[in-house]
Amino acid sequence: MRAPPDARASKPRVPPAPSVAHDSLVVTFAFRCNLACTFCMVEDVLEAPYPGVSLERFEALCRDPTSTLQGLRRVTFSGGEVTTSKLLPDYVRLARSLPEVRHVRIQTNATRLRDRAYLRSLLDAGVDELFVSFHGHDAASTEAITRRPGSFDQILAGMREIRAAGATLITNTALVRQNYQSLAAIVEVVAPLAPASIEMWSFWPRIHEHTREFAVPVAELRGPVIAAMRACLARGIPPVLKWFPRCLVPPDLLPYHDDGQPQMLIEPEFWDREPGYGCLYAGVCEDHHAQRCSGLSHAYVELHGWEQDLLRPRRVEASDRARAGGAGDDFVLRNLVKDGGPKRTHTARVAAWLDAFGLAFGGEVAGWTLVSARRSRFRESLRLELRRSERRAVLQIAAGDPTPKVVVVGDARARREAEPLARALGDALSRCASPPPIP
Amino acid sequence: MQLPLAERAPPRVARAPLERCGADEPLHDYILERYAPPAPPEGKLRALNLFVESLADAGVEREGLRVIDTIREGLGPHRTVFGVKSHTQKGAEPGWELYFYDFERVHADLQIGRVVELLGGLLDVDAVEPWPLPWHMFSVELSPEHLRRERPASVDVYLDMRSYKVRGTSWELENVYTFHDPRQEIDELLHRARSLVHFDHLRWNLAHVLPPDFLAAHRVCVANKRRADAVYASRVPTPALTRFLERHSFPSALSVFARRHAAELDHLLWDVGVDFQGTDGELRFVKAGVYGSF
Ligand code: SF4
Repeated sequence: MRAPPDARASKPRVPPAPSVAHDSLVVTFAFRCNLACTFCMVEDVLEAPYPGVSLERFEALCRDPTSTLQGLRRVTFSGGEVTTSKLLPDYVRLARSLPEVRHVRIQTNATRLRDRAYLRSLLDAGVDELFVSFHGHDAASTEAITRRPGSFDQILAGMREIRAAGATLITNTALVRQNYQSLAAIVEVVAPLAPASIEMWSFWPRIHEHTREFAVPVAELRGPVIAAMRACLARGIPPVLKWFPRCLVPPDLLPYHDDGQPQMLIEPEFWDREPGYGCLYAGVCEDHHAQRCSGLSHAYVELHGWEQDLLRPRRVEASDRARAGGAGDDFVLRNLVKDGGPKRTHTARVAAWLDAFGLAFGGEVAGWTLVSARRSRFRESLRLELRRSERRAVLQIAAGDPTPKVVVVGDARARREAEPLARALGDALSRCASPPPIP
Repeated sequence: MQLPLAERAPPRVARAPLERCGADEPLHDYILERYAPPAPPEGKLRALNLFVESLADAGVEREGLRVIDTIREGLGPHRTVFGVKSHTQKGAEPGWELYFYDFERVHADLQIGRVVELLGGLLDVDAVEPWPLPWHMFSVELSPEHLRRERPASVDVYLDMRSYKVRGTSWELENVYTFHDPRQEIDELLHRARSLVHFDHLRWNLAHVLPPDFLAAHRVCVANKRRADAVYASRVPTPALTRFLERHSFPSALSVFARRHAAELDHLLWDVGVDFQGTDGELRFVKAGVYGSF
């Protein structure tokens, strides 16, 4: 089913890359590779190679007027590294023989494509889109991942040849611990090659045992991903973000979030190790219902949890209520099983944190009474509200090293009034020898 | 060449012949509610075989089978739920429980006294209902000790989302529990999870007690017990049962049985649950159970 349009997404300045989920098919063969990426999602398949879809079988499917291949607009070949197979041009020619196919794509590491004649032979056979895996911004970081010296230069050289030949280049970066802090730098390296889009796929942990090494908590990943997406847009290149919680994507970037995937022709055993995806809020989230978001991989959930306090489902029933003019998102029914709501438990955590600095709700700081505290969504700051008779002051405590920093929120008058209070609070915080992190 | 696990597994421990489903086999979950089988049941294995395998693994197959036969003769087939328990406590004996349901209280034959009497020839059950109570279910615990008649078994009585442990005339509150649809009632479920005494939801991974297999279940039950909290999931498929058996230190005979016979168990849905403690700052699974019916 095609996902309905998302009314919340703002009108994009840069047109999003067309989704390939619905009129494409991925055909797999050549389960071998000339690189050895640490997080390879088909590593097990390369070790005991799958035969993949043989040329004969593919030919039979192409000739069968009732096969799933009929009506396709795009065929994508993937392995392994399909350029290691001498038969690749034959597969491509067969794909081109399908009457409605407009694009033939290969997923590749591009190292072999630096051979101009070889690249030309693929383009002549009918390849027009090259989807290149590119995981590091420099030689050291790339080769720590690919485990092949020289591969960074080889990949770049391959991509330059694609560009020079005028074929469509698309890059794809797996979001992993090893590269997530240099995503914007990766965009800087790729952008001059004018790719049609820059894709970023959350690590797809097919082999669960590896999750710990590679999967980054989404709260940590979010900032660098957003920065990299904005870097793409600043250069007029559409980013594509995949398998990242849609509710953590700002509205202006929603047009570039796409969890859709085309169907794949592969041995059925491959799916025995397919990562399950899901979301705690699947039953109430409109984006899940509309198949716009898959949630988190089960391997991620087992490692980092459901992220129940971070995710913000756009609720099916909440939007229904809003349409009906009823109460919004904050409306909470109380009943016997709702005695431990998030507010109460978070308040208890914040109270314990304040206690470490000798502060308490209802307590006094420089003549002001501390009335409430709210944690920011990503736990990088706390907002304290204090009152003195009719006056109200809001101070923000931001995580700092070694001591949390205090700033007054508000206009110049508010800042003037609350400055002594901010100083007193800052003193209280700095008296604690080892301040605990913001809860 | 390495053979896959199921091929290398020893033959099953139980000696009783495997019981197989008929064409119209009614299948029930652990609240004795009928469910539609996910695959045709005819000729495939009954859930009871797992129960028998666990009895055999504990060395009480003969005694256990006598209890099963007595119950089936006395009450008829497809009226009883069994639970196979694993305790992580060192030296703890394996345990089982039999559950008898009558939500509408329409079955005159199903009375605590009558089941106590039925089982009287095989084990001593010490529980007295003071006057007719509006229970919807009661259960009888079983262990090798009970089956050897070394001590009397107690009864748990369930009414109005509570359960009581009954020993003689003493009734002790045991358990308060709620059921939730993990898709439509996720907020209620989260409220329950956030208010557990034995689970620090801000520090520990909620998936430890609410793993993806539980979230895909028909219903999730959260229970607050005297010394632990517990989470149960109903109607999980056999692969999820197998993962649960492996994760929660059940005798390996059970997971081997489930793996080896996976294709003959694909029509069944199971119920699973785990008790945990955590008030000393460390999450510990103290008991786990898997449930089926016969
Ligand atoms: S709540 Fe879950 S399903 Fe909904 S957008 Fe967020 S991650 Fe996706």
